[in-house]
Amino acid sequence: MSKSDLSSQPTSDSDSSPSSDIRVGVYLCHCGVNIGGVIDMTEMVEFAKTLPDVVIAREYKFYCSDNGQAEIAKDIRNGLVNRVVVAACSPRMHEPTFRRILVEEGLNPFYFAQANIREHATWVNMYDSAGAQRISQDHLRMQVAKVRQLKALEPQIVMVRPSSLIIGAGIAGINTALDLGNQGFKVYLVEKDATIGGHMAQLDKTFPTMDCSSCILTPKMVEVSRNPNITIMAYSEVEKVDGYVGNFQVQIRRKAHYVDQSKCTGCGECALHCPVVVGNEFDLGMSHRSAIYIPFPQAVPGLYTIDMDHCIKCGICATTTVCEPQAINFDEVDEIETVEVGTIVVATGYDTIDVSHLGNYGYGRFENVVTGMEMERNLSSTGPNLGHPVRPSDGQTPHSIAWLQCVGSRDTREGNHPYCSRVCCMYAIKQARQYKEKHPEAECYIFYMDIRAFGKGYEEFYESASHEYGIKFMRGRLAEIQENPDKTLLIRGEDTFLGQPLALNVDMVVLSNGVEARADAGKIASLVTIQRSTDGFFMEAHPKLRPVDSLTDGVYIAGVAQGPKDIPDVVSQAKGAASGAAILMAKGEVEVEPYFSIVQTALCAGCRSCIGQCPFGAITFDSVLHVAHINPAQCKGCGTCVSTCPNNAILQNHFTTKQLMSIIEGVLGDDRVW
Amino acid sequence: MEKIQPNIIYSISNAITEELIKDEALKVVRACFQCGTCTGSCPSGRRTAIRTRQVIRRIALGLDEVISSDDIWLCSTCYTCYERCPRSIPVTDVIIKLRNLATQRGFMKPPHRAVTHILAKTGHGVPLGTQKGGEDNNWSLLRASYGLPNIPPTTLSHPDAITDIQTLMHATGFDELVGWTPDPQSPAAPSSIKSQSNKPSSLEDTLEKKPIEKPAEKSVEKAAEKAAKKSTDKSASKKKKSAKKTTSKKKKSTKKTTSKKKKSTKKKTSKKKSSKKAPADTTEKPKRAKRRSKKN
Ligand SMILES: Cc1cc2nc3c(=O)[nH]c(=O)nc-3n(C[C@H](O)[C@H](O)[C@H](O)COP(=O)(O)OP(=O)(O)OC[C@H]3O[C@@H](n4cnc5c(N)ncnc54)[C@H](O)[C@@H]3O)c2cc1C
Ligand code: SF4
Ligand code: SF4
Repeated sequence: MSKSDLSSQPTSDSDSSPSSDIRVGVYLCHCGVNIGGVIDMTEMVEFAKTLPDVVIAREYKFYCSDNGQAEIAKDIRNGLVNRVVVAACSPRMHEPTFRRILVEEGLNPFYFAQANIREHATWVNMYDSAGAQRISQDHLRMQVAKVRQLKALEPQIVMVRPSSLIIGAGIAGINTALDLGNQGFKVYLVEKDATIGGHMAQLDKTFPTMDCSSCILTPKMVEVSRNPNITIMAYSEVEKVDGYVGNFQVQIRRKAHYVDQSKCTGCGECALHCPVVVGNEFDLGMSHRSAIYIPFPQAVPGLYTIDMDHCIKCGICATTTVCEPQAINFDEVDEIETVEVGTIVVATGYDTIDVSHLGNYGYGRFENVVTGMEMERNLSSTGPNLGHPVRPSDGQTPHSIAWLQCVGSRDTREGNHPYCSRVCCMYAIKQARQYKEKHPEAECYIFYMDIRAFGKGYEEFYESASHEYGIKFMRGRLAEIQENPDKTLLIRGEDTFLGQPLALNVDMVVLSNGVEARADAGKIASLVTIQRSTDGFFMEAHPKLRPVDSLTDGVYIAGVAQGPKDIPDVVSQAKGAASGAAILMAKGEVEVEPYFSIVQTALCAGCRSCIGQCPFGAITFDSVLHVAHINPAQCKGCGTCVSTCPNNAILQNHFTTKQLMSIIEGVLGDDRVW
Repeated sequence: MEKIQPNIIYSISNAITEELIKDEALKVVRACFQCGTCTGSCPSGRRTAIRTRQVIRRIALGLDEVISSDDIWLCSTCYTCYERCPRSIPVTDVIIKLRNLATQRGFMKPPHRAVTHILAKTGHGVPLGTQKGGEDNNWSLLRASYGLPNIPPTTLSHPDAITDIQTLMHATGFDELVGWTPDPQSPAAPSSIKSQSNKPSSLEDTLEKKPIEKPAEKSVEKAAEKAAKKSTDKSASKKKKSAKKTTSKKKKSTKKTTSKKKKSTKKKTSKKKSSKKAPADTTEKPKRAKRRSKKN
């Protein structure tokens, strides 16, 4: 059934009170002892038989089992029942299972209702059988009342475009893009910065194998740029997303580079001549760049951009002697580009936690207190010190370095995060090892509360850090850091192993700060209508079984944007998200439940109160007919508009007012039949 | 020697740790993750102040004070922690090595020092003497009951070998270390030999390479082993020995013998008889424990 057939769905609540031929079958599932061990199932059967239109009531150990399903199927096949109520677990578990039986036996799948007597009755009243029995009866009564009112509906099918939008081009976005591009789908890879690569480009080595980060990342970046199916839209941001699963219209702001990207050859002559000197963000301000720049030598695309916040418009770069192809264009303006895609993957990554609010650690006041990412650049062979890490205060080689774990993480105070950031233990061990490799005589301390070395090869990595490298693991979170007159640091904490206060003089402290949701995560969430969990990261549809899906059809989440994780996990998740999106696009169409709302045009006064209320932007105004119109594919069936409409003109499939009222009547024990 | 006082401002010198981990097999001490299995397993720690985990912690951290602590001397070298350490740290070997390093630096307990003096004088750490009044001690009767000569073929049978021992002690500087000077009447003439021998740099090297009393002791031990019928102690120690790597076997067995000897000295003072360890232990332990709990 295509969208144009939607009109054949029931459009009015007024037709037919329960027809005379309603034969309800009630199936009471024991769910092992989950239900059967708490309430009296025989009594439930007898109770079910007293309910209106119930012709059969049975009980069985497991109705979700093949045998259980066969029993229901047999009753339908023999014409004994034409409405089915299963009293068991949550419909979120098994509704699809039971509906499939109805379809297979030629019954409309929407003639089914499920009473959740496990979660709602027996689990929560495990020690009160009588109470659980009463609640189970109420639930059963409600569902029988409802099933008698249900209408046959047809699932909707919408077309899915074979193209995908990926927001964020870190290692998550890059992997998703490659997986989708290599399957032949069109990919738009949108990145806000001037280069793709994300945080991984800033890392020196990666735990636990100590591969050089850029050596494994840059080939992927190049592969993305070479893939004919992938369009890299760097220095761009998503402005607006319209549409629904399979058919999104996305507006993307292409920020002005002030350098014509089609002319720039990336020769770099301009940067050499530019008189402006500013801190390079890629090195966290530890090195310099000019106002016209590329973030780092292997940047993709390797084309120049003028940073207008710092450009003095001297025009030196624009001269033909400097820029031969005459690519410089100070008059360039942002452009808006619209693309149409079938699926969206959000891979916007993370921000590192700002630690300057932790006064007792003195970050920002003491020169030799640095963050994890600063240490990463300090250690990097492509970093400001070319692989010879130094003490910031005097550029000397530090002899002793202390890492302090869980800075900003595992801290319930305001401004910090209660969760574990999952990467800092391992990166601190990695950095300490790197330093010991360069300076075996150095003293490296890691102050921690727990070491979380959970991945493949991680515990071994941790063991050898102490055993082979002599890195000293100090259990106890530092309490404070003080600066000595010579800028070395006196650190204080507890040595919880020896049970005594500890003070130690060190040359440098690295605050192993964790990761947090992007500052603009809220904006992205509302752009693509996805949810965020309490930790601020984007929320998956199910923490275990649907870890890459969002609750919005056609929108997937990958990488740290969903929650803290390291590169191996990011890549796995990226592959999962790519697979999720590819399944939709490969099928080319998707079935959506017909729970959308319908405006009964005869009743609509055209007041438009509903339009602003719809959280999914599914309602438009038909200015010809002067009525509201709901796009069924975009409507999620939340029912907000139904309750907003002053004229009761909106009807929601499967949850009509009449159906809902019958449930209420059912639970109140009123036998009045609608 | 005075104790090195731990300071709140940690001075991590690593000197002792570095000396210790020159032995590759002990380097793994740095991998200790402070699980506490060793302290929890330690039979000595249930009665004394030794906290094995903390000994290991101090050495892993590079705190030299560990060699001046009493803890390293409270280990009974039973090897339980050694067997159980999940990071495969040879805990007992570390402690034994720490004792060596401590001794070399003059950190000794007076009773241990006293034992070395007895060794110097008699050639035995645990002297086999007569009781007061010249009455034969039970040991010689026991030997006779096994068909052994009354007097073992040690310095007891060869009193002039005592001079050799003293010479060795002098050549290695051990006499100086333990503060032993020959009594002027003694027949020992270390000075004459002193010029001939090169003083070895490491004391233990000499001791380990030349287990002076070993052959004699072995036979004594064998006989004693035969006698002790159901000594659980022994079967455990046998198992242990076979489990240990062959390279360290020698070292350990020597050390163990010494410690066993010490044990039996103690027992002699508290109990009248017997070199049979196990039964003596079991009768003694509960008594001690009782006494302590009364005090507490
Ligand atoms: C100091 C440190 C060291 C680490 N070391 C290691 C290690 O050794 N091994 C390891 O496995 N992991 C390590 N990690 C973790 C690793 O950095 C992450 O797992 C990984 O980089 C996450 O990749 P991502 O693509 O999810 O996010 P990111 O790398 O953050 O990429 C997200 C991308 O999205 C872009 N973006 C964000 N918002 C928008 C927007 N609104 N529109 C368009 N684009 C947007 C960003 O510019 C960025 O390019 C370390 C982390 C830190 C902090
Ligand atoms: S990964 Fe380690 S340092 Fe980071 S928050 Fe978790 S426990 Fe703390
Ligand atoms: S058992 Fe081993 S790892 Fe555990 S505390 Fe003792 S020495 Fe350390």
